[in-house]
Amino acid sequence: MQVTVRYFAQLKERFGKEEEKVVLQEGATSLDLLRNLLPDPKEFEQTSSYLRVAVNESMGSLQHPLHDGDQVVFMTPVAGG
Amino acid sequence: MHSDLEKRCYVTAQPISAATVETAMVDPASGAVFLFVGKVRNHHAGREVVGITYEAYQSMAEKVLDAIATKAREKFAVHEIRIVHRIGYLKVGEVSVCVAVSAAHRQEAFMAAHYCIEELKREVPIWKKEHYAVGESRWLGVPVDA
Repeated sequence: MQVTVRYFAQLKERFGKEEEKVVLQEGATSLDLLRNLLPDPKEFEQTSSYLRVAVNESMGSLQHPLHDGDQVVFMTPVAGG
Repeated sequence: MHSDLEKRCYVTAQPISAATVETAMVDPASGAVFLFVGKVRNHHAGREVVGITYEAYQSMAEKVLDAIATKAREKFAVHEIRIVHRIGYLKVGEVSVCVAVSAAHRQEAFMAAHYCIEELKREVPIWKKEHYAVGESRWLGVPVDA
């Protein structure tokens, strides 16, 4: 399956892009996707500890399986206002 | 032009006029309109701030703002709620957010507006990067050692 990852704020700067398509194995979760995007185990551990995920514009769980065509946004702590 | 005035909750790159937001709330049954205006402040945690860049996951942010307003209307006896959040680079003193609530009586309007701004800060996918007088910038909310 293929999902679209969009990046905002700190993560947009970290990845140097606004979005990308990623091919994943069936049943992969957002956490699997994040591990794929952050191959360095230390960075993965550190970053996954404070990120939340939105799938198709709704808050989701990092452990929840993704589906083909999903739009995934990893979110650093929000700071509006 | 974005039909911003048609929407009650939205994110915009245009300067926010709190007066315009308030004027759009026309309801003879409302005896109170509470207007909260958030502005860019010139300091944070002891550092001099010269501006803030706001970035939003706009489509989701507007959905979440709508959901917050809907929830507030369920919890409090209010008539209308409008929430507008700015994105882009804002200088000190510019309006970053405006929450306007109309109600028959002031107490419910105060409480609903308070609820909306607190929920906004917790839930809406908007991020801010502070720019300091010394030349550095930092995204807020991200752990410092990350």
